[in-house]
Amino acid sequence: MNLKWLGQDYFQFANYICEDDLLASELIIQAAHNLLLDRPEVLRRPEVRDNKIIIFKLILTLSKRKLASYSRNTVDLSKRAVFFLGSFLDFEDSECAYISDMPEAHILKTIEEFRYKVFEGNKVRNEFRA
Amino acid sequence: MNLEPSRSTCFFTKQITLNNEVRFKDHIDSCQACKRKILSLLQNEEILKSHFSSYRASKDIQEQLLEELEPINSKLYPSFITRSFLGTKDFGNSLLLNSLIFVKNLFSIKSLTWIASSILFYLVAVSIINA
Repeated sequence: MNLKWLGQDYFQFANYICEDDLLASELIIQAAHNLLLDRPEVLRRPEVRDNKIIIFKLILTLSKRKLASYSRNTVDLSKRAVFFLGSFLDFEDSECAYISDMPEAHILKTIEEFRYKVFEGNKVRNEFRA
Repeated sequence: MNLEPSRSTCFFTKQITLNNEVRFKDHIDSCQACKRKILSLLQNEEILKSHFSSYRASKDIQEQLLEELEPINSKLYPSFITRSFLGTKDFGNSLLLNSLIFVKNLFSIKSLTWIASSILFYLVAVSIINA
């Protein structure tokens, strides 16, 4: 048993919200250190749904703190996190709201907003290629 | 005359999503507009998948991450020898601690009183028996 699973979905999540793979690796290692000290049982049983939610929330909190220390904008981080969790990993609205500290009523709106942006971006890219 | 419903005129087109397409199966089989809608939904899903997959860790990054996670991994899952050594060490520590607590309690006023009173009782009993 090793911590390879941290380098898959969780790295992708960190990389997606920060858009920086170096920072994402740093966040993953920091989150693993924090969990080892505070709640090692979460690292031992990553397949449990509650533990997944704890890890995602921790990564989001750490990324907000990290980017704020670099004086970078942290407003979009929660929205990006919601889009990733709701659209890619099919998390429920209540879970997304808990992880991102956003009101549950805004979750669907945020997901649709980002979906639209992605499709528009794709359309523009295709037109540019053509 | 073209009787095929266009995407904007077919009633079901706007209601169909990838989660409820089975409900409209019979209608979809006969409606080109709904088929096109399903196709565009599937294409959108593909676009999203490719959008997210561009953020996956490459092999180099994964290897590097695993290397950096190795110290945490060894702490989380220590080897058999480490676990046995730590177990023996813990046992030794608890034995020493308990011995010290025993000595401390032995020389407390309460236990000394008990020891003195039991010795006195023994001496009195022996003297009465011998008398």
